[in-house]
Amino acid sequence: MIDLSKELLLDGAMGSLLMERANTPIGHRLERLNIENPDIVKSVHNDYLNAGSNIIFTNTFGLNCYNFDNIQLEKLSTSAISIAKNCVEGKDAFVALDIGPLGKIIGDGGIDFDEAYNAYKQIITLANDKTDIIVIETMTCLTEAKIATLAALENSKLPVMVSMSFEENGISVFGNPIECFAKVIGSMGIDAIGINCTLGPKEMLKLIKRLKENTDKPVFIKPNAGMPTVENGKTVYHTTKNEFATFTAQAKKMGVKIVGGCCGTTPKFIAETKKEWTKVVAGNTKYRKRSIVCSAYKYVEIDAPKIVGERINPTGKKAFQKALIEEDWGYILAQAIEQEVAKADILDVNVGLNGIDEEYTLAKLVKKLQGITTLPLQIDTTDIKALEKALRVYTGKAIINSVNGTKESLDTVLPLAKKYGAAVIGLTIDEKGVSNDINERVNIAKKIIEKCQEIGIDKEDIYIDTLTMAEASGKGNALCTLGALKDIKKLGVKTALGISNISFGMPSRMDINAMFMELAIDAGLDLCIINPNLIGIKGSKFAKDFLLAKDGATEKYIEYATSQVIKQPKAQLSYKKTLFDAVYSGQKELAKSLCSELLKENEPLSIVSKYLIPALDKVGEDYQSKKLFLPQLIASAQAAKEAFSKLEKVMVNEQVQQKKVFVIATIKGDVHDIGKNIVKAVVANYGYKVIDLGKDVDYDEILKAVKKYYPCVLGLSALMTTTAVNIQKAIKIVKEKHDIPILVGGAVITKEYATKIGGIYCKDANDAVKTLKALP
Amino acid sequence: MKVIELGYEEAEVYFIGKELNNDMELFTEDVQEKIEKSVDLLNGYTVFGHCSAHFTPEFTEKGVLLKGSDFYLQGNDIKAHLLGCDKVYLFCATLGYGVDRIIRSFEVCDLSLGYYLDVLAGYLIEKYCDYVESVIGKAESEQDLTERFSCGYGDFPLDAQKDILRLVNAEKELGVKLTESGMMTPQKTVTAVIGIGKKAKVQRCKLCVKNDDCKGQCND
Repeated sequence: MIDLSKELLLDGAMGSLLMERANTPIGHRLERLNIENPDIVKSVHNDYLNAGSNIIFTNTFGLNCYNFDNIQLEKLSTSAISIAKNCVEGKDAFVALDIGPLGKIIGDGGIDFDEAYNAYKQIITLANDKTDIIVIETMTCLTEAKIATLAALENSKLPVMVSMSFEENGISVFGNPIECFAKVIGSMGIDAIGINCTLGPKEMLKLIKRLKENTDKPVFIKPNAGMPTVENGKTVYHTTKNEFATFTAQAKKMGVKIVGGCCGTTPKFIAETKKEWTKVVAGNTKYRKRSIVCSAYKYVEIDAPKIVGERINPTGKKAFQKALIEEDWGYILAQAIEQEVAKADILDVNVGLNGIDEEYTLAKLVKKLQGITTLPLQIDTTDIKALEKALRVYTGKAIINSVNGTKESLDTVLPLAKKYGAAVIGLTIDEKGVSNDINERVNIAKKIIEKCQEIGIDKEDIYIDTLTMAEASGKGNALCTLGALKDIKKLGVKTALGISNISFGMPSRMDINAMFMELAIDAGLDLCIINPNLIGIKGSKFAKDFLLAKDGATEKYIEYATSQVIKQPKAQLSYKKTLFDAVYSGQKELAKSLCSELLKENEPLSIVSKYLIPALDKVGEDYQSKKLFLPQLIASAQAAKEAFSKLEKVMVNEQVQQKKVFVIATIKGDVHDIGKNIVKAVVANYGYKVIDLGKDVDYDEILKAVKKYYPCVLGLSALMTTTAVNIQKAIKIVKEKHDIPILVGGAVITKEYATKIGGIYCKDANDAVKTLKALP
Repeated sequence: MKVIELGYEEAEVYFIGKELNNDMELFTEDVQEKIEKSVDLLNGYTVFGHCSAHFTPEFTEKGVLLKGSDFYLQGNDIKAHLLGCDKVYLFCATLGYGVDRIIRSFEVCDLSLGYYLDVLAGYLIEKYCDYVESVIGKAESEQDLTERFSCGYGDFPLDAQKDILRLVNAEKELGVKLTESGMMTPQKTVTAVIGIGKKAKVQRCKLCVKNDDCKGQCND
């Protein structure tokens, strides 16, 4: 058995030595040598073993289903392992199954989570635990590193080491900081975590501290022989073996006990390192226990009260519910961005709604959110399957909202938190329900903490929620919540509270909410789950007395709240301008205010026909005659959208439902969709309900949407010649079953091409509107 | 320190030229504000990165072989472009994944600003390519360089993209990958071929598929 807490020497560069010894041209897959020329592979392994390596990596870095077919894969894997195993026989050395990146994009335009997982699973299953350890290395994308790690942990009993490559600033080329790597991968039940490639040992030294401070796992490094330059067509590394050994000895002083070399290093580097290493005593850089959550791009330390945005939640929000049912991701994602702009630190994500497949929807939303926001996510669900799926696809250290004190919850949620390295919110409720007694809530908290620790979840990752109950429903509720919070804080864990429930049933809720947050923060609250727009608002002293359950305070508060003139910020209305002008000139806020004004004396439909449509038509005309340009066209569409959304709130249902349906998508393979988004924004203002399927949309999904929504028109876009052909296929598939007009557009599409493939060509968004108007 | 910063003024000049057809009446405060916001965002989120490799060309029937590799640059246009050069550079330059993300974010919550960002990021990547070109020029002791020539120009196939990325090690160095349909991510990424020892004279516009409604944004 390998003991990774001991000092171990890994091997050095493999590829460059193989290329040199086998004299292969650039681009030749070196894994082929496992069969073509096993002696060469053997010679490299033996040289490293003779130099003192305790672990050698199999020659399988690029061995995956995208580079080889199944038969080749099996042969090459078996051969690679057997070569390495023969080399270590009788020696105090081990063999590691080496796994590198797949070379594929994971997500839009590439392969999905499951396909990537299966590709890694195949590599691991083929090796069948015949090596002593698994090494996942040279990862530059944290998402891919997580998928590979999951595949290793779930399909093998062997210890797992994982390393990523970083730039000098400690951020990978995919934008993943080393701290996020430490938190996400380091919390997943692996055995050692490391840094390899890209940097020399000198540059890597600076990153070791950052890695070690954020993980308690053994750390390993495999630096390059310095930072390379290209000279006469050859990559040249400038660090000498002696310098290399000196720097790696310094790493040992910082507590790195496992070291090897990457590009540019040779057996001589390993031998020299071994010599230097024996002279140095291993030091230690301490792991700093902190409460940290992170996305793939950003980490947040909970060292002061943090704001968790609560807006991504359908409860009581009709528009949100509609968006969820119709999969209008744009609406939902906009809630995320708005909260990020309003300075939320973390986003709560909840899609619980009757009739929604939560497992599917939550995972899909989590994937989409990762593409547009860097804020860490708090996964909020009671559906255990949905929770696991969301945690799997989330590249980050999430917070689970929540576990509670019931046996069932503790038994199902905590193992998931442990497996995926998530933090967890513990609700102080159990089989007996919510208690009004502070001590009862504290006892439940203690039970949750104990269970967490039993399963290996650190106190730093526990956030106890002492439950916010509406003060109006029971005098003293706030005091109980705050009292329990104060006591629980002393247990060495963090705390969380949903704020807004406190004011349920009362007027001027913001006032009470703001004051309650203030009191809770004073009592030791760490995670304030609120609408971020509350930040900066101050509660009144009347609200404070109400929350502290003082005599007569409820009446005084209501009197105060109802006598207050509700101060709405006055929009800067310019009466000289009409709604027509506001839309024409693309002024969103003005359009909204003017629309509200007009609604006082006009029917919604007359506002549409008198102001909005004429303005949009004028914009269209002027755009065509080049008096206006695309940026103005977009701005006008957005202003009109604001006005329409005001009107829709007061329109009767039939008026809204009369809309014709236009399904739009950017075709399979294509990820450039700004043009499609512009068409969507403009067309939506002409009485169409636009169902946007997004980008990289497969034929099946298009066909499914056509069946589901019965659109009167379908719109498809492509930017590249390579993807334009996919439009042709989609048209064929749809037209076989549905006789509907299909508009096509995008940079490379021409009128001739569109006609040839059975579509109707639209040059741009304006042209699409014209075409739609002309359709029978 | 960043090697390149995008200035408000140059961004305005570019945007007014490309998107507003130089009509100064359309250059309102709102447009100016959006340009400035985009410039700030781009300067904040861009992570410039480039990598390159150079080869000796061998002009063959099959195309221009980059010696030491197994890769031929195919097509008559690239051949003509490089004829007379004794060295060929391949390079890849990118603005990084952060720029993709902010464009996506704004497409969701403010499409108009998303559009400005997209247009100006297009300008910024070209500006960065100019910088990369100057780095190559310096490395070659200020010898003459050809224009940069990219896949898809004339009959130089788009398929070559994957080989260029492989030869400059773009995935490992910059995180640049190809989608299944051959698009590069991050989206604001350019690969190009430059020949050494020959003056720039090929007009890229003439070979460009979009030259019909081009407004001269490539500065050619």
